[in-house]
Amino acid sequence: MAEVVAVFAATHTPLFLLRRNDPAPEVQDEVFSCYEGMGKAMLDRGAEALVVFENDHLHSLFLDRHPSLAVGVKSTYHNVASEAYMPEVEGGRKGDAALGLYLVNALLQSDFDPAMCQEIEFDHSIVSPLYLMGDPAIPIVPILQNTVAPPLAPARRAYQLGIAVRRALEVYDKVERVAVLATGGPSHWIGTPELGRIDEEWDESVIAPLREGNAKSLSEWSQEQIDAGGNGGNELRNWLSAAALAGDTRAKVLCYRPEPCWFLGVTALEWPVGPAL
Amino acid sequence: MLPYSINKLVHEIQFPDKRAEFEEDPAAFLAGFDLSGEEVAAVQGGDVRALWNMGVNPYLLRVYQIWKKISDDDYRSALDGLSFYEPQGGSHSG
Repeated sequence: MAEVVAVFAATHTPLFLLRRNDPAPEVQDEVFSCYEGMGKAMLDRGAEALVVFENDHLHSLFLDRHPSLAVGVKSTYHNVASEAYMPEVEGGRKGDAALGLYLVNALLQSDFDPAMCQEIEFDHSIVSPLYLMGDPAIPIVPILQNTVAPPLAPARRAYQLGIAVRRALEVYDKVERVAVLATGGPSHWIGTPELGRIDEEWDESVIAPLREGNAKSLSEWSQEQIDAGGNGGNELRNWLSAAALAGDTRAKVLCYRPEPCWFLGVTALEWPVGPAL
Repeated sequence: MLPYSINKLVHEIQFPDKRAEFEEDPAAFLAGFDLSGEEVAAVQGGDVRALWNMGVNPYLLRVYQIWKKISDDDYRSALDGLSFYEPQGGSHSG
């Protein structure tokens, strides 16, 4: 039965790649060493699969058939062609297609209706944090939630999703150790009139409950409360899934560094793995 | 719900092959979309304020902004005075 050996959250942004060295050297050192540490921890703990809660930004998925929830079931992922600046791993990044398919089935049994995706590629949601983590060679299962184009599912669905994925992993016997990563967040404004704004108060209003082991309270937030963190604030959903998966334990804040060059407060969290909810 | 055709156009020209087709023969490329004259003019003219008001998704507009080499300051100026949520459905849950 698969053991969850690591649960992290880590901010994503294309600016990690496009403006990699624009922040002050001490900020770069802090952020890059933090992300490298997460990648190393996944490898050191022997993770054989990496489940990533993330969100496409209308690159791989579009409004013609836009799922609220989707799971990748591929054995190799390449970068989306529309973000050509992203570093590619030779031969592509490996996926765990069997685990992806298993999770699709398990989620259906748990009353979720994920879209099963055999033709999606990775955008910066997954590539930018993984790149800073050193691209650990662990086969990936991407679980994508719509955080970018209304209508959006309520936050409680993201929390419930994390619980369902954890329960599914607990009875999966094809790998022994799984790492989990939620990408995105906290507040940010992309392509909006407030482009580049950072709201440290809003960030603290979501990080504080996570630190206290109370992601549940955030799962009851209204869309209006989430919208106050900008369009990027909707990525809170990914964090809620990871928190619930870990058992809604007290998150440790590995990093919180507001960085105007990167348009957000770079955040990294780790949840100790508690009993499944 | 976001307006479909204008978002589809801005989505497609994110991709290098489609963008090349668009740049080579805009009229032929645009013929495949159900767009008004105002929408066509906004896309071709780099008018991000008009595109915002037409309901183009902000993430797509960001890619468009970079393609059109509009600086962040100029982008914010172009959208000055507009609300985050109008006309993007009134709310992200809309």
